[in-house]
Amino acid sequence: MLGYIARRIAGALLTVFVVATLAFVIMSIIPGDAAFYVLGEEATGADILQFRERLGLNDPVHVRLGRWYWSLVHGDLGESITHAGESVASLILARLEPTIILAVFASTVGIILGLTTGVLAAVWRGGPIDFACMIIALLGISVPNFWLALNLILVFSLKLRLLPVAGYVPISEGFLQTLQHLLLPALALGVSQSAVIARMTRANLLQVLSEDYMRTARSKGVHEWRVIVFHGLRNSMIPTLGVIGISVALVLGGAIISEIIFVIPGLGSLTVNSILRRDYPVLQGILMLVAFLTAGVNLAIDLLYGVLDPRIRYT
Amino acid sequence: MNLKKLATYIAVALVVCVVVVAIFAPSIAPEDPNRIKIGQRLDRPGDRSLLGRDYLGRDLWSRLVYGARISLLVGASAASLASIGGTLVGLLGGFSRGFLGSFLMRFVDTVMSFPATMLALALVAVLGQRLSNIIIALSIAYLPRIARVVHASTLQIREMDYVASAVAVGAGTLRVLIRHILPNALGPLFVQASFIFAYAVIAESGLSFIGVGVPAGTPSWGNILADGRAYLLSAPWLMISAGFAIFILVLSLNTIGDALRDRLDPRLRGPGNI
Repeated sequence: MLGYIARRIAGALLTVFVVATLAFVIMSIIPGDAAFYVLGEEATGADILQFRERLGLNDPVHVRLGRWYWSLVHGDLGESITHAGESVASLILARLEPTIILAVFASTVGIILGLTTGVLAAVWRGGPIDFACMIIALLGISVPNFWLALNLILVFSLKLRLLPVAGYVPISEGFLQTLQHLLLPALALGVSQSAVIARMTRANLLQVLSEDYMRTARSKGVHEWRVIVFHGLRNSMIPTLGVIGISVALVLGGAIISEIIFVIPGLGSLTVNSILRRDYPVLQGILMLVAFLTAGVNLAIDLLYGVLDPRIRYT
Repeated sequence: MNLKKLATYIAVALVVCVVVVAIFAPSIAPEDPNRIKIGQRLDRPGDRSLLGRDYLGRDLWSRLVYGARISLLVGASAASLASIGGTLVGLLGGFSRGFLGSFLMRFVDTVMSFPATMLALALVAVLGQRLSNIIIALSIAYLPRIARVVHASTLQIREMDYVASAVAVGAGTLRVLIRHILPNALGPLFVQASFIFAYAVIAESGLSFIGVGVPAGTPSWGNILADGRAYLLSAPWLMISAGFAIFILVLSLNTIGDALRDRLDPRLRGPGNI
């Protein structure tokens, strides 16, 4: 088990390394760099040359790559080009809190909504409840989450004035307020995630519902809901868990746009800004972090399989 | 069951409508989508034009009509390019036992673990903000999905007796791949491609919405949405109409994808689907 986890972590590190190298090389080949964005239109050729010299941008790719590896093994992600003097690590750390909370909040909404509608639809299969649940799921998959977000702002913030239009309050200033600010973005992101989970839950639960052990549980007199949740849902959860793992990447991607709509100072807005200003060290740091996060989530989910089904062994 | 069929027919009809509107945009749109009438800015729907006007007085209906072109172009091109590239990678990965196969699929898994939006965003930044580059970026971002599906089918099909017979009578690798394996892997591929069409429509409008998509000012649904964002209260019809157009197109594409899946993908057929 421990050997398995160690191997998976090593694999994840390797992936992160490959991603970072690829990103570095691609970003180095393409024309245009941060010099223009930092120095502005007035900059002379000499200014740009000096700027590039100072940051070492004039060296060949392999030299820069080697230098970057060297600082990487020393735990240094480098310095941001456009935020003068700030290290990439501190920039990312400062933006991490809102994005993580938003992703967890949205996923919680998505998982609760998705499991509930999926179970309801499967239990009352073929009836109006099933039909309604699956129509809602289809709508949920099809609605662009940024449009849903705008509609939620229009109704709940601008018309009803129940929730803040945008912005973010750090946890240190009150968790309740944090949640209040993140409720609409989490809802917008969670709905599309829940739709995917609902379809998967329904499909897998339906396959399990006719199993012999379900009948056995019922004949022992176990309460119907207990049968469905503990005997049915638990055994149908493995493919659903896989989908939940994939949807975390979906939420992280959606968070980029949501953070811009709701003016949340998180990783999403940092990503877009560093892309627009060609601040490659920062972008690289973010890509590595995302690769690591998704690998971590996938590992956690693979380990959860074993909790759900003790027959699964990790070797 | 019949309701489902009806829904599929309606979805096909809607997509056909959007295609017709896109093709005949110049004759359907009452005005040039970029014509500025500053005196009529933020006109309400029905005042002097069908759906009202935006903050520069440009006719919203005309902009929506032309926007259909971009959404369809990006969606269809990204789905086709991702299908072609993904098929190549998937076939190779599934058929070549050994290093190349496992390397290709490991690479696909790595790309797939990234949020497609983030990947497309980074690629557009690297390639430059042009319509063709957006199509390329989205194709690369969605390629792994096709590769995975084709890979799975290939692994299954290559063990079939008819493939063994083909090899036995002396068919070369290329012939086996193209004549025997590919045709049998097409069903799941089409299903996945139809969903990618839908994802790409959403992704393109999302990129344009945050200003990293088609150049600002171009009549695209994402740009209309972005322009409307500043006028949520005073001119909500801008935001509502553009988003609704995206929503209806994507909903129709997803409905068609579901119907295709029920027909073409035997692995997913069964009690589990609606």
